[in-house]
Formats: sequence, structure tokens, C-alpha cells
Amino acid sequence: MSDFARRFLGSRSGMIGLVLLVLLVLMALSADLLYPQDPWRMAGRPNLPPFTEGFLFGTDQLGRDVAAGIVHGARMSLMIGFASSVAAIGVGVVVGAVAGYFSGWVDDVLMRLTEFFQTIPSFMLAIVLVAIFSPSLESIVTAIAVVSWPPIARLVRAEFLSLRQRDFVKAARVGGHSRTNIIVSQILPNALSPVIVMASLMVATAILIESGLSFLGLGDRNFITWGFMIGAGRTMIRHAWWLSAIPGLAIFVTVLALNLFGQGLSDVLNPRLSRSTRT
Amino acid sequence: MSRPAETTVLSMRSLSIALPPGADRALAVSDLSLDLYRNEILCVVGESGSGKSLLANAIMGLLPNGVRVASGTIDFEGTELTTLPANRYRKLRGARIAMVFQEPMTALNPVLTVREQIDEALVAHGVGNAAERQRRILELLDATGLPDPETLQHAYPFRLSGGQRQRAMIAMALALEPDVLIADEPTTALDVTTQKQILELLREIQQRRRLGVLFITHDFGVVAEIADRVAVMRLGELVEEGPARQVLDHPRHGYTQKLVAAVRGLSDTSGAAREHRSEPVLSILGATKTFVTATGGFFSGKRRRVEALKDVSLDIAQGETLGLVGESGSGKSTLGQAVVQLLELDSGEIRFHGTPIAEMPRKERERVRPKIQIVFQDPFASLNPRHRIRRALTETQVIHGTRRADALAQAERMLDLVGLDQGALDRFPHEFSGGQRQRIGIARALVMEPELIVADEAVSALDVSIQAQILELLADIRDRLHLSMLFITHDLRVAAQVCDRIAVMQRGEIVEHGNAQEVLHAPSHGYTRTLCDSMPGKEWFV
Amino acid sequence: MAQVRFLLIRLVKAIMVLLAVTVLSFGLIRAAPGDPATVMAGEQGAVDPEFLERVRERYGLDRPIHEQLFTYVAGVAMLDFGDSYQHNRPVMELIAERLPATLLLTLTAFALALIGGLLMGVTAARHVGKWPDALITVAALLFFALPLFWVGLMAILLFSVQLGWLPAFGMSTIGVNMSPIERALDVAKHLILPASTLGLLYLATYTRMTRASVLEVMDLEFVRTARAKGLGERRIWRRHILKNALLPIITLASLQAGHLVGGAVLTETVFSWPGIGRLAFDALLQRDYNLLLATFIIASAFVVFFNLVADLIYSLADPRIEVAS
Repeated sequence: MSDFARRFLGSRSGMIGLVLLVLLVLMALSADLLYPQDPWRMAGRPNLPPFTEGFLFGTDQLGRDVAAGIVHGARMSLMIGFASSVAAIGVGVVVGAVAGYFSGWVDDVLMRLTEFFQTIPSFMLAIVLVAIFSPSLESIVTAIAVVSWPPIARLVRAEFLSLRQRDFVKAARVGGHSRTNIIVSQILPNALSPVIVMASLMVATAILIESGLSFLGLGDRNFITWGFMIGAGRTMIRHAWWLSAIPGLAIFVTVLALNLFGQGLSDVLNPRLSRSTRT
Repeated sequence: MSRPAETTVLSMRSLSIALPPGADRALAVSDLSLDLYRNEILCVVGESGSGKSLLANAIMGLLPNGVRVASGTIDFEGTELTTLPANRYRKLRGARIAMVFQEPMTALNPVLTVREQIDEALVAHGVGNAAERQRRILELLDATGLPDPETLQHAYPFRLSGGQRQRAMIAMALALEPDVLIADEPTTALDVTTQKQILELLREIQQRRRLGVLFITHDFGVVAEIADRVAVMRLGELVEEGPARQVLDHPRHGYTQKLVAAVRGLSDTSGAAREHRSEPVLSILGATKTFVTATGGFFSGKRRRVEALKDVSLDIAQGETLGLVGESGSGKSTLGQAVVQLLELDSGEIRFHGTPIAEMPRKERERVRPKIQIVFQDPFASLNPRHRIRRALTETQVIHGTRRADALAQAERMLDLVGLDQGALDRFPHEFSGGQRQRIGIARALVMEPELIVADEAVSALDVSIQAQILELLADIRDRLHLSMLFITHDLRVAAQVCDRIAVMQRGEIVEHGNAQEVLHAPSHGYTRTLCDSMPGKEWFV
Repeated sequence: MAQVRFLLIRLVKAIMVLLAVTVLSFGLIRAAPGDPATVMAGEQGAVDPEFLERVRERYGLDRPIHEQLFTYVAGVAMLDFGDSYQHNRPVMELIAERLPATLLLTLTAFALALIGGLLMGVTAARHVGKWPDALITVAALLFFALPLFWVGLMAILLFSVQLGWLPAFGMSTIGVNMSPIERALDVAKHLILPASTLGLLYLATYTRMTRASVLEVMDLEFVRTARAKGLGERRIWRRHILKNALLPIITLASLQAGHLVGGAVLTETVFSWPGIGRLAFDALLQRDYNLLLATFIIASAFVVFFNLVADLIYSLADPRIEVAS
């Protein structure tokens, strides 16, 4: 573990990503301290430009504080990103592990299903799902998870297919270990590194999908989100550019941080691949 | 095969090749001086890590990134190669110095036909017009013994067999009639019968064209078969050099003596072959297995059927070692897997002490299963990289109900038996060498107190000196614990050393079966004779 | 022969995917909260009892569920998606009208992204570890983190609002008489911002893919063989490295087509581009689910067709097709 930490500390992109992520998480956690008021509330005169007294990022057409929206929005983005990724990884790992370990017709059926979900336009499917089940935190997380699991499943399957042919797995079978034991304790730990790397990238993609959905008005109206802020500020782009520009930057920084973090993990966990992916 | 010394074509002086910082040693090759003469085969022989392959690449000017010639010279017919500008080097490569690689499948471009790949070498060195090149290509393919060059030239590499691919590689290397041919383990990836053909081809071409051939190999049998002179390398240093007969029969350096002894030990079969008349521990009756592989995907009807086992029957007595010998695709490993219940037979049965395993009640089957253990070929793949040795050696015992403390005591005993100390328990597999890992693999099989061990090419991936040690260990343990052993190998010589009886397999069938000495020295089946005949360096061993 | 069978298999697969998309759509209608008739009629249609009755009859919503499914699938197979209450026109007519605009946008974006990505990826790989590589990988990393719709808005802000170089909305200038050539140039001008926006993210993706693929092939043994033969570097790159490295890109790139169409919804919304993405957004605003699902099915069909074309190209380019499964 210390070896892992040491190597991660040595990865420049990984460290930049980690620092940015920690800052973002701190910002999200302290949202209620920094801006205790409801971010939907009118806080000042409408359309104040950034750096106006008391309003770091200005106000929108209804006089809401953009900075408060950014800070509270960080919560939503990170939470939805993590929740949907956890769900997608759970589904992906199970599907991939089962397909890869059992192969044969089980594999065939599961892979057809995975390919199907990978072929159809995923963002449109997410739109349809959220629209039909009406936008809510749960439907958004579910929709993002539904369109995100296939790459994980394919990755885990490929790892399993190669690992289950390894002699140490055969040795466990000869030793009479149970299937569950073999999958969970022999194969899975060896398949996990690339999954971890992909997971961090998946959180980033999930945040992008979420922002796209709320930009289209498919967000949960109980919470403010960055995507919603951009969508709402869109019509004001000629007069109040900051309403769209600032939340977009927030998304950009968050997604970038996750990608950099993933890059760092990849350098550490897949040293073989790192030469081809290092920035 | 020795001949009067001829003119030098390639001359290395005080050559050192530096590895990138952080490698396990600073110099891959250090202070090496060696000459290659026209019209000879010089074998550079060494175990893994000896630096022999990097030497070949250094001559070609194709060292991997980060690896470089640190000092010394390589003189090719008056041209200094180490400082040669890239464009002049390019003109030399392929034209005057050519190379043949170990693995012809990956060394050929998968999306170009054989013709295209030879043709581009001719084009690159400005040879004639299209018609002239076409004539040359057909000539080359014919000279390397490829059937029907007219048709075969248009084939993609995946269409050819391993031997054909290597022939195509050789044709390509010879396209511009080079003076020097560097062959880097050119037969290591091939079956023994194919290896013999390729060695004969290389020898024939070398003599016909008076080539200087630098032949890199790890196999002393191959050396004995083909070398005029031998250079022995060890950890980057040249330890001994001389005419083949002299180095093979009267090695001077201690390391060479050790290697030669280890190889010769393999063919010393005096101690083997005992008679066993007890009840069989394991009986295989009419084992049949056919693999059906889909080649065209989900909906295609095209299936390829491979009959891996055709009605195979064998017995193994208590304390007996049965050798199962065959080339790749003979079905020998399939049979091994069936014996340890890693795959199900289509028909036939495997009996343990007379009872068919498949018909045992579940409880009984679970009790019996660990009594048949397996030792694998690749010591790097056979241990879970994330588990400490302690876990590797105790987990299975605990699953079968042994108390943790007892399991650990047993693990310690077995580690001791395979010649490793207790400190190994707390380490991870990557902290061990290949030979040590193979010992751990054996210990893992032994902790379950098996009655039968299937050794599936258990020494094939090891260097020859380690190979001898592991074979000795296996024989020793077998005798001490009265184990039976099914010894699967492609190498008749290795089999003859440890086995009492030998069964020779070809295309899923047992073609010959008998006393180890008889099979080795007086084979009755044509295929066995071919196998024996193909063993490289057989005259030297006898 | 092997090629033909390979393509036939892919064709069957494609049809299966479309069938599955249709069944999925039907399943979603049934799974949605409330009366399926109301869901299909959309928010506006649902308050018109006459229209609601028509929908019920058209889809046989009072018959058993398997018959409903059959009716729905049969309808889709005949390209009949019913009527949109909001537009008071057959859904298929609306889509057919909008489809060319989406094709123009997505195919242009795809071409831009693919060509740019290949060039950048190959350049980066050729200079791996040096400054062009560093520059390109950082650029790809940044592009990859950009929300598409935000890039569109910022592009409008910069190139339309601030600089006034390019039109911000729509596909053509309305109400002006133009010759066909002027009209084409006008559309091209309108196309620049949306196509570049949509292409940008995929540019990053293709750049990364290409770079990784080239780097992988560069290390393969046959490249060393080519050097050992004394081939020139240009020839080695063209015949050995690129030929092998770019083959998988065909398949990988076409797998991204689905995302491209999804991205079109956002891009068309931002730029008011009159394609099916914009149509989907309108349907979304009006809760016209029948129309929304129809755009989803058509978009899927587009992606499936796109993949088929990629398979065709691949099967012609790779001699190993018969051994690949």
C-alpha cells in the first residue's frame, strides 16, 4: 500500500487531479456553511456581473447568487456522479464476471445484451428514461447507470476470460475451491486494477451526462445543478455571459480533475499501459 | 563438421551494451569480443538473461529504446556498425546482414501476403523490375521448401503452419543474398519434428551460400546439431568459445561444464524405469474428447471439430511414473486436465483405485479430488500474484477442513521438502525466481498429500540447469512419498530420464506405449521413430 | 465468401438490435406511470378524448399485451409511428423532414473528428514523449473534459456575439433570396459552429484511440522484422504500422457513433439546428413521448446502419476477417 501511495505521489497528473478533487469535495461538503441560504432564493439585484460586491460570480436574471449555485451544485454533480458510477460498476462487474467465468451460452446472452446497450445512442436512452419516469434524483442516477455499465462489463469479462485460464485459477479448481471462492478471492482481485481506473473516468462521464440532462431541463427541480444553471442562463448569453460560462467551467474543472486522477491511477496500477496513456 | 578457418565477416571487440537505469544489471553484454567467419554456423548459447538476444539486436542496429551500445566496436567487412549513420545502416540491413526471429507468427505482418512481404524487401534495396522480383520470390519460396510457391505466395501468414511461416521468414531473410544471417532462437517456438526440418534447411542454405550464421539458442541439443563453433554466454559475459566438438565434449569453463552436465544428465536414463506390478492408482478407460470451436461467430454454422482424445486407455500403478509424450496438439495436456477433473470427457471414464470418479457420490468426489494434484508449466502464471505463499499453501487445506495451525505446519514441512526456507511464507510470488516458484508450485501440490501428481510440462519453461534440479526434486519426492506421477512433456529425453513407462501421443491417440528405455532406444511405431530421430543433437547425447 | 457471411451475420445482428430497441420502447411505455394511452398521446393529446380514443384503437390498447406488442412492432417495421397531436401530423413525416439536417451535422462532425483525430493521434505517437505528443495529449485531455453544450454556448458567445463572424442559430438564413450556390455556402457557414462543437469531444476520443493503437503496433515484432529487412521509415510507417494500427480504429470509431447522435440532441438544441435532436428536445418539452420514442428508434437505426457500414469497410480491409469471431 505504501508502495502504491509513493508511486501515486510521483504521478504529476494524478496529484493535480487528487488536489482538485479534494478541494471540490470540501467545497461540496461545506456548501451549507459557505452559503447557508437556499440557492434558489433571490439574494440581490438581477444580472449583477461577477466580482460585484458580495457576489463573487454575480447574480442571474432572478437575482439568485451564482456562487451559491456553484457551491451547492458541486454536491449534486459529485453525488450523482458517484452514485450512478457505483451502481454501474456493480452491474458491470457482476455481468462481466458471470459472462467471463461461465462463458458458453451465458456469456453469449450477456454479451449480446451488453453490445445492445453499447450500440444504441446512450444519451438519448438516458433522456427517454428520465423523461418517461419523470425527473428525480433516483431516475437520473438509474438512467445514467443503465447507460454506463456496458464498458465495465466488457472489461471485467475480458479480464476474467484471460484470468480463468491462468494456472493459479486451475490450481484452485483442482484444490476443490468453490466457484464463489474462485471468483471472489482468486480472480476478482487480479481483475480490479483496470476497473478502478475505468471507474474514475466513469464518474467523470456520469457528471457530463448529468449536466447534459439538467441542461435539457431533465434535472431534479428540488436541487440546483450546474447543467440547469447553464440551461437557464442560455437565453441570456448576449447580456449575461457569466450565467452560462461559470457553471460550465465548474463542470470542466471537475471532469478534468477526475480524468487526471484516473490517469494517475492508471500510471500506478497498470505500469505496462502507462507509457501509452501518460500525458 | 569443423573446417579450416575462413575470413572474418563480423568482428566484435570489447563490446558492451548498457541497459536503462533501474534494470537488474547495468550492462546486458559486457566486454565481449567474438568473430563470425564466412561459411560457418556460430552458436551463441546461454540461459535466459545471458544477453544473447540483445547481442543479436545490437548487430542489427535494432536495440530497444533505452538500450544502447556503451563501448566497443562491431566491424562488418570493414564497416564499423556502432557509429554507422541510420541511412547507411538501413542499406546494410536485410541486404548484407539479415535476421530470422523466434516467433514467426508475430514476426510477420498479419495484413500483408507472403509475396508482399518479400517483395518489399527487394524493392527497398532496389532490385530489378516487377517481373524479376516475382521470379526471385518464387525461387526463394521454392528454395526454402515451401509447397506450391505459385499459390502460397498470395497467402496471409495466418494461413500457414508454424513451420511454413518460419520458412517464409527465412526466404525473406535470404531475399538479397546476405553475407551474414542472424537467427534468434529460430526453432524454439516449433515442434521438434518441424525444428529438425528447419535446422536442416538452415544448414543446407548456409552451406550452399557459404553464409556466416550467428545462431542464438538456449538449447545444447540444437547446438550439437548445427554448430561449427560455440560461444557460451552467462550474464552478459562470454565465458567460453571454441569449436563445437571441443566445447560440447570437453568444456573448460565451470559454467559450461555445469550446463553440459545438466543437459547430459537428462539423457542419463540408467536410474529410471522400474517395474510396478501393484494395483493401478489411476485407470483411464476409453477417454474421448472432441472440441468444437466456432470460427465465424454467433450465427455462423461453421464449426471446427478437433478430436483431442480418441479412445485413450492407460493405467498408472502406485509409485510409478508414466510419461505422456507428444507434440503440440497431440492431446497430451487435454488428458492431463481430464485426470485432474479440469475438464469433462465426452465418453470414457477415469477410475481412482478402481472407482470411476464421475460416478462417486459428491462427498466422496470432493474427498478424492485433492488426492490428484497438478504442477503447471509456467511458474509465473501458476501462483496468484496477490496472495502470499502462506495463503497459497494453506488455503486449499483449510477448505478441506484442516485446522489452520496444522495446515501451516504441513506447509512448512513441504517447503522444507522442496528446499525452501520458512521465510518464503511471508513473501509474494514475484519475489521469487522461476525455479523457486516451480518449487512452490510443487509444494502446493504436496500439501494435500496427493497420491498422484500430474506434471504438465513442469520443467519446459525453465533454464536447463534449473530444469535438472527440478527433475531431480520431482524424482526424489516421488520416491520418498511413494507417489504416482503422470509426467506430460514434449521432450522424449526428459521423459526417459524420470519415467518408468512412456506413452507417445499423436493426434489424440496413443501410438506407442511401453517401457521407457524401449520406447526411447527401440521405438516400434513410425511416429515415435520420427520423434526420436528429430531430437536435436541425438548423436551427441548417445 | 467469408466476407459475405460475416456481413450477413452483422446484418442479422443489426435487425435484432432494432427489434430489441422497439421492444424496449414498448416496454418503457408500459412501464411508465399511468395509462399507456395517455403516455403515448402526450401531454396535450391526453386531454383530447377523441385523440386518446384514436391512439387506443391504433395500438389496440384494449387487447392483450402480446397483441399490443405485435401491433407496435409491426407499426415500427412499416415506419408508422402514429400521429403527433402537438404537430397534428404523422410522426414519420416530421422525422423525415428533419433527418437530412441531422445527417449533415453528425456526418460532418464525424468526418472532422475522425480526420483530425487520426492526424493528431499519429502525430503524437510518432513523437511519443516529445513536445508534439505532450501538446496533443494535453489538448485531448482538456477537450475530453468539456461539456458539449457549454462549448457550443461559448462558441456562440465568441464567434457570433463578440466577433460576429458566424451565425449562431439555425441552418440557413431565412427570408433571403439566394442562388443554389449561395444557399449551399450559407448552410456551410451555419454548419461550422455546430459541427465543430459536436466534433470536438470525438476529436479527443479518436486522438487517444489512434495514439494508443499506433503505440501498440509500433512495439510489435513484425515492425522489427520490417526494420531488419532494411525498409525505410516512411515505408515501415505506411505499410506496417499504420495499416495495422488504423484497422481497429474503424470499429472503435463506429462504436462511438451512438454517442455522436446523443451529442446531436445537445448540439441541435444549443444551435437551434432543425434536426431530429431538436425535434426530440421539443417533444421533451411538450411531453410528446410517442414522438420522443420515435426519434430514439430512428437514431438507433442510424447508429446500427453506421456500424454496418463500418463492418463493410472493415471486412474489405482486413484479410483475417474469417478467423475473427
